[in-house]
Amino acid sequence: MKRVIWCVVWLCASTAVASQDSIGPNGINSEGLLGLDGLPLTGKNVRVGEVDVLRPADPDIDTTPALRNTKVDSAIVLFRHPDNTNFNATPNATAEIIDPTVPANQRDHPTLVAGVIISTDNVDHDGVGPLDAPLGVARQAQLYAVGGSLTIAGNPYGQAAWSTQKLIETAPGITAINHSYGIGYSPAFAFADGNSDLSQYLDWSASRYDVLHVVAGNENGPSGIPTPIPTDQFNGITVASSTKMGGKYVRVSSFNTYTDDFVGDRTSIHLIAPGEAVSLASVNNGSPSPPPNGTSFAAPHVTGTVALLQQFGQQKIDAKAKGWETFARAHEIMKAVLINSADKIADNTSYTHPNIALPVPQDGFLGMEKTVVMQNGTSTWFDSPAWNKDPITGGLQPLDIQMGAGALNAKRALKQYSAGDFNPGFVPTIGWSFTQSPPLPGDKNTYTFNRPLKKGSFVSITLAFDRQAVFANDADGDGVYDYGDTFVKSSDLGAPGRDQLGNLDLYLRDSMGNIIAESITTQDTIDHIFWQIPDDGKYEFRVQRENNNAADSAYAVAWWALGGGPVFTTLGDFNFDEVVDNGDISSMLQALTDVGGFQGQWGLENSDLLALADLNHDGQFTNADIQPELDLVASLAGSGALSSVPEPSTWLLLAFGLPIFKLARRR
Amino acid sequence: MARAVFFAALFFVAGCDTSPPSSASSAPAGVHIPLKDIWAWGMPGTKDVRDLDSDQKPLIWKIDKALNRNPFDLPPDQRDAGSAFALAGTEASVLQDAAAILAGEKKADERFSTEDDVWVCFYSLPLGSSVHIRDVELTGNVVKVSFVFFAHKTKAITSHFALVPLGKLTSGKYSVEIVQMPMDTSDFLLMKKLDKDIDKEAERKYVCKPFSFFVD
Repeated sequence: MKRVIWCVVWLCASTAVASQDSIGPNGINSEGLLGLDGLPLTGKNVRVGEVDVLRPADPDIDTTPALRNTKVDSAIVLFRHPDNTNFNATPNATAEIIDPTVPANQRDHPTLVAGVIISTDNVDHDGVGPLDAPLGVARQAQLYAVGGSLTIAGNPYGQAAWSTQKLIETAPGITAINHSYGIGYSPAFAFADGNSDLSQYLDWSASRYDVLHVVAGNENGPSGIPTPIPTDQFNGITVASSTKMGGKYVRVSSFNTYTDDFVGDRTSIHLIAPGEAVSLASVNNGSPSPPPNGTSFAAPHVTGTVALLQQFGQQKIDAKAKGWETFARAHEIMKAVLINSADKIADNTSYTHPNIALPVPQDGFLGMEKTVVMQNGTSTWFDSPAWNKDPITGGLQPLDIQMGAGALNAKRALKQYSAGDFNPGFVPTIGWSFTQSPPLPGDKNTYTFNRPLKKGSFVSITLAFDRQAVFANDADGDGVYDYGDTFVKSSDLGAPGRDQLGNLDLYLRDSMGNIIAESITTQDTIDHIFWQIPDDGKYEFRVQRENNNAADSAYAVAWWALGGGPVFTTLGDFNFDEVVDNGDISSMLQALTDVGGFQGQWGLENSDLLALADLNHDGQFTNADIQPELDLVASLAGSGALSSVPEPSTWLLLAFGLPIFKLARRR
Repeated sequence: MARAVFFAALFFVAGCDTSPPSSASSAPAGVHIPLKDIWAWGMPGTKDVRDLDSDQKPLIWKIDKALNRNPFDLPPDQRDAGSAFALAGTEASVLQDAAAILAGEKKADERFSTEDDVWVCFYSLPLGSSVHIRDVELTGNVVKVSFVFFAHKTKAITSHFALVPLGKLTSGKYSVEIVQMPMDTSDFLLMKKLDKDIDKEAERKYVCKPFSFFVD
């Protein structure tokens, strides 16, 4: 008993003192986020991956104390077979082991990266300054790792792609894969145009296996040997590094470089995350002193955050929450959610900037926690070309070249994600939608905010869809990537990739149909609007197809706005489609089974609920409102009142028995 | 002087396989300082300079902080790496002095005595490539520090730092040259974009500059 008490005390104490600034409120704010079960999200049972130059140390395999870390324990590490093409999940006589003669900064790198995701080390190793134990973002995620493939002769793009493919095949359902390495151009004098077989493989595998690739962004270095591949991939997330300013990770690191950014108007960076002064767990159960910096350590913050979101999503799916089906874990949703919830400007009513026209109301910056600045330490989003309302060029550059959409914020990402999925039509002020893209050029899906938006506040909307990479040569014709397979290169030299994506655009419109803001790049698979609402009123946004350059695909769109008045309700319109009909009855019955959940889903205040649902005008929403709803539906359909109403319990059975039919779902 | 010549000759004959030279300035041919005698941070073949620090590595952290200065916070004319410098002392003291100089707490001396054990402090600012010393050669009054950029392949940023022991020197003015060797661009991972294996611009920005000092 005494030992138990001692252990509890020790656990509490160690938990209390252990912290890591990069994952706390000064960083990505991922610590202590709670799942549906009320317990902290840890990435439990979520599979994530790491592809690196070498493999990380694995305490289950490596026995030399100086070359292992028992607190960074991958689920599986893959070994290269001597024939350089096959991989084994267990060591063999000639398997690659951690080689003590390899320079430490390469040997330890995969372990340092892995630790950012899964380290359970809560010891403050250096004892210098603030406590900074190298705890990972998602400490119970299952990390599958592969290395070594980038150190052998052959086609490096193919080797990296093949490594990734074997990782995916070994870990079905893997949700995100971290890539903290870079490869040079081939042939020399090439550009970052997304045409390399590795970049194309990442795009192909993202679509084929529904996995989010997270790639470390470019850094400074001798100009003769840049390593920008695969930062130019389209379907994943490329991450730049942030450093601390004023104690918070808000400044773009000086070592991020953009000379090898994607050619043309497209920018490579989607997000920034902590990459400097990050506490890292190294081999020998220690922490390097001092630790290296780099985008290598920014990217796994994103990968770990995906694991947290995926765990939450699975909890929702397991709980059979309304609107949460297996597609809720799609990589496009992860991408849209993470980008849309990034911090740009800390919420502050006193904030002013010469480039914004109106005062910002309370919560007008949507609860953002940090003001992100560029490398010069002063410029913000409002100084970026991405904030550009020029009628000619406006909307052509959705993201900033340095900060992307801003700083990763796991807490806001969870809030964004947990708001749930909505079909086109009336939607609450925060949510996301995953559906099939409109089929023909000019076709559109319209989302109308179900309450007026507040003047001076900002709205954030992010659209993500896939580039369609296709095989040029699939040697064995099995439709699965093998070493040596190649992909069709974009033939659009002016805007590489443009001919391989069915372009979708994003428009924000007022109630008169005027376009308030737009994101209309033709060169990227991301669109992003962050715009100040000019007047109180009704707004909608549209996802519009612009061409048929590639086959239909799904898209994810995430949005976040500030409501400024009661919900636009029509009595009895429980599914918010602006028509009171039979479709509302099942929605009503489901609402009656969980009134609080219904209010939360649609962002309804009590007054909104009564305006919508109190059909018998008794000041309550109860089963007694069912008959009036049936009568209303019948009268609007012109068939007269229904004469008999089943018992409420029968309605509930009917409601649960109704197939939840969702149009145009891909998965 | 005779002792100095003797030690220099001994060092040279021994194929650079001895402890730091006590003096080598009058060697007719170049004397190479063995890499294994150099205390450095992240350079293959050298001794780990962290072993000179105490348990919590306060001096290493101090140096790291000094080298990781943000160039955007400095005036444009101060954004380059600055000059290498010389210092005198024992193994135990030079790390402390080097940290103080890099942190701007004291200025580097330019004059030393013939009784001093002289060291050269070489360093590079944070970079997406390693900076490795490949050779240090003392020829007459010229110290040539040859380095190479070595691409990481990972997306880690590293700064580097080395304390090169020159030992006791005869009087005179000494020039320390910093010489870039060609990058190894034959590595299949690093197919070069530009037809150059020497990058003077990166050297100017990230690697310490040549300097001179006096021994009286």
